[in-house]
Amino acid sequence: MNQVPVTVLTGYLGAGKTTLLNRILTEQHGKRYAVVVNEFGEIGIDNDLVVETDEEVFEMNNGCICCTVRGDLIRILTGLMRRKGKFDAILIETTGLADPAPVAQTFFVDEDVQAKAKLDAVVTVVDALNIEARLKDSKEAREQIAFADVILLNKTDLVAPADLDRIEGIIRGINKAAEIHRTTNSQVPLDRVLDRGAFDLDRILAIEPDFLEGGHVHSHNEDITSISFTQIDPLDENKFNRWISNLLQTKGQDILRSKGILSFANQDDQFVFQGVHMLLDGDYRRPWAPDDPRISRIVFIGRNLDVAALKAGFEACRAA
Amino acid sequence: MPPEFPDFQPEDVYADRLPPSRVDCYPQEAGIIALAIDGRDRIGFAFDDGRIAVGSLDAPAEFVALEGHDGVSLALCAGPKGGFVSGGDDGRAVLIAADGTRTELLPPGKDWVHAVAASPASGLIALGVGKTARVFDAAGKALGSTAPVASAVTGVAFNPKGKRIAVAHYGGVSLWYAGGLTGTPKLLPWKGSHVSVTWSPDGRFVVTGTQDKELHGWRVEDEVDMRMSGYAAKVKSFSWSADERWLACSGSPLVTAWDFIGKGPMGRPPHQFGGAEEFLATHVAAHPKLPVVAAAFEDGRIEMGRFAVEGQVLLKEVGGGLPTGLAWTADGGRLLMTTEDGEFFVVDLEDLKVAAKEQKKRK
Repeated sequence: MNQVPVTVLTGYLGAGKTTLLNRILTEQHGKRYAVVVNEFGEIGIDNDLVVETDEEVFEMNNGCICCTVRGDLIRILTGLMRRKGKFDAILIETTGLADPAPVAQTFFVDEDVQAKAKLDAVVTVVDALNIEARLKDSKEAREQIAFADVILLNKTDLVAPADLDRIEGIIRGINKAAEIHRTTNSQVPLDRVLDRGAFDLDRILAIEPDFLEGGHVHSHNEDITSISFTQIDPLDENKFNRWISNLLQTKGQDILRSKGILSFANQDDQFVFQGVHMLLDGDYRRPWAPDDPRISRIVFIGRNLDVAALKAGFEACRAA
Repeated sequence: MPPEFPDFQPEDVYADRLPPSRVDCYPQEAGIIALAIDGRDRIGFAFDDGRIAVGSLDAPAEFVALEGHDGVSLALCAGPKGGFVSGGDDGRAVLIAADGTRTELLPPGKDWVHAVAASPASGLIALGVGKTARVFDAAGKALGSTAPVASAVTGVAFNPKGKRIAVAHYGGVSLWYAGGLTGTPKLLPWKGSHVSVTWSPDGRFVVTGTQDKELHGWRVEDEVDMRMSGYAAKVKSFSWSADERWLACSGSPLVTAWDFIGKGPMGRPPHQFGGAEEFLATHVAAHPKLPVVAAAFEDGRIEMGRFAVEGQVLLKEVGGGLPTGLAWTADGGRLLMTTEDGEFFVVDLEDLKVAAKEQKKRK
C-alpha cells in the first residue's frame, strides 16, 4: 500500500517557518497538500486542505518513559486517510516552542498511521541571526536542530559570511546527519525539502566518520552532539539488533535520534534503520551497488554520548 | 444453555454453500468507510466522498445518497428512533431520520466530530465535538454540552437506559448524566490515551480500547480497574453478546471475547477464535439473538464463532478490500459487510434466523 509522505516543519518563533509553508503551498508543483497547523494564522491557502489542531501530547504506557506521542496527529492523520485520493502529501507545522520528539514518535507507535503514512523528513528552519542566543536559552531550539533531516539556515542576508560559517559549524556539531541549506526568505528549491525519503540515505552515506583522538570525547550536560562510525567488516544482524535495542532501552532518553545504513553478513541489500529515542524501525531497503564499498555507517545524535562505549559496542557487532 | 441453533463444525464453510452476494445498491463508484443498520433494517453507508447513502435491502435499487460532509464521515451510527447520525471532519453532524429527513445537528466548524452515539431507550444523541461532548434529542434539538475534557473526545457511549454518557479522552473516561451536563463528571481514571469506549448492556461496566493496545475496564459501581492486554492493534470494534455476558473485540488475529459474568473477566482467559494468523480482526458483530459472533478480517474474510465453544466457520472468503463495517439485520438472518474498495457483501444466514425464532418459541 502507498504511504502518504508527511513533512514536519519545525523552527523557533520567527525563524521563517510560515514563510516556507506558504512557499510550498503557493508554488506550482502539481501536488495537493493536507496541512496540519496549530493556528490558521497567516497561512493563505485556497486549494489545500487545512486542519487546525492543539498539540495534544500524551505519554504511552508501554514501559518506555520518554515515549510521548501526539494523539491529535494520530486522529487527524487517520481521519485524513479516509479521504482517499484527495491529496498527495501532508505537511505538519509545529509551534515554535514544540519539542519535535512526540511528532516523530507518533510515526513509530501507531499502526494505523504507519499503515498509511510515512515520515518523509523533519525540516527545521533556523534564524541565522538569533540562533546562537536561542541555543543558549532554549532546549527546544537545540532539539529542533537535533531532530532535523533538513535544515534551512535562514535569514542569511542579515549575517556576515564569516559568522555564517561559524553558525553552520555549530549546527553541524549538533546534527551532522542533516542537510543544511543557506536561505533568505526561506527560498529553497522545494525538492530539497519535500519527498526526501531516498535522499536522506545518501546524506548518511556522505557523513565523515568520527575518529577517536586523545582522551576526552565524552560530551557533557545538556549539549547535544552527534557522532558517527563506519565499519568495513560486515555486521552480524543478531548481534547488532541485540546491541541497538539494549542501547536504546538504557540510553534512549539521551539519544534523540539514531540512523544507519548497515551491511549485514550474507545479505545483498542495505539494511536501513532509524530511531527516535527508544523507538526503532528498520528494514532492507535497496541492494548495494556492485562497485560500492559495503561500509556500514551509523549516526547518533544526543546528550551525554559515551563515544568510546558506542564505538566499542558497534565494533563488537562485526560478524565472526 | 444447550445449543439452540444449528450446530456448526469448524470444517463447515458457509461461504461455499451460501456465496455472499455483492449488492449494487448505491449510485456510483466510491469507497465505503462506515456502515450502520438501524432497528428497522434500514442501512446507512458513509462514502469516502462525503455522501451518506440510506436504503433497504428489500429495495436495493432505491438507495439514495444524501449530502453528508464536505470532507468525510468520521463516525456513523443508527439514530435513536431509526435513521442515522454522522459526524465528520468538516465539523458537521447530521441526523438522517428514518423517513429520510435530514437535520443538521451541527453546522460545519473547526472541531472535528470524532464520535457519535445514540440511545433508542432515551431517544438521545451524543456527539464528541473537539474536546466536548454534546447531547441532542431525537428531533435534533441541542440539549447541552459538557465542559472540555483533557483531550479531543475519542469515543462516546450511552448506558443502557440512555441517561448517562461515557466520554473517552486522555487519562480515562468521564461519566455525565445527560440531564446534568453542566455538573461535575465522575472520572474513571487510567493513564494514557483511550481511543474507543463501550458501556455494557447490563450497565455495570465501562470498557475502553487504548492507544497502548489494551482494553481497560472499570466496574462502574466500585471503580475497580481491569486491564486486558495482548492485542496486536488498538481495539476499535466491540460487540456485546445478546445475553449481555460476553464482550467480543477486534484488534488481533484471533477474535477475543471476555466473559463479564459475575465480577468481570479478571483471572479468566478470553474465549478466542480465528482461522488465520497474519490478518487482524477489524470488526466484530455479535448476533442479535444467538450466542454467536461474526468477525471481519483485514483480508476480507468473515468468520463466525460461538461464545465458549471452540472453532469457527468461514462465512466469506478473502477479498473485496479492507472491511469498514459489519452488521446483522435485526432478525439475525443476514450479515452485512462493507469495504474500503466500495464493496457491499450480504451473507444470507436464513438458518440462524430460523434458529433464533425456535429459541424464542422454546422460551
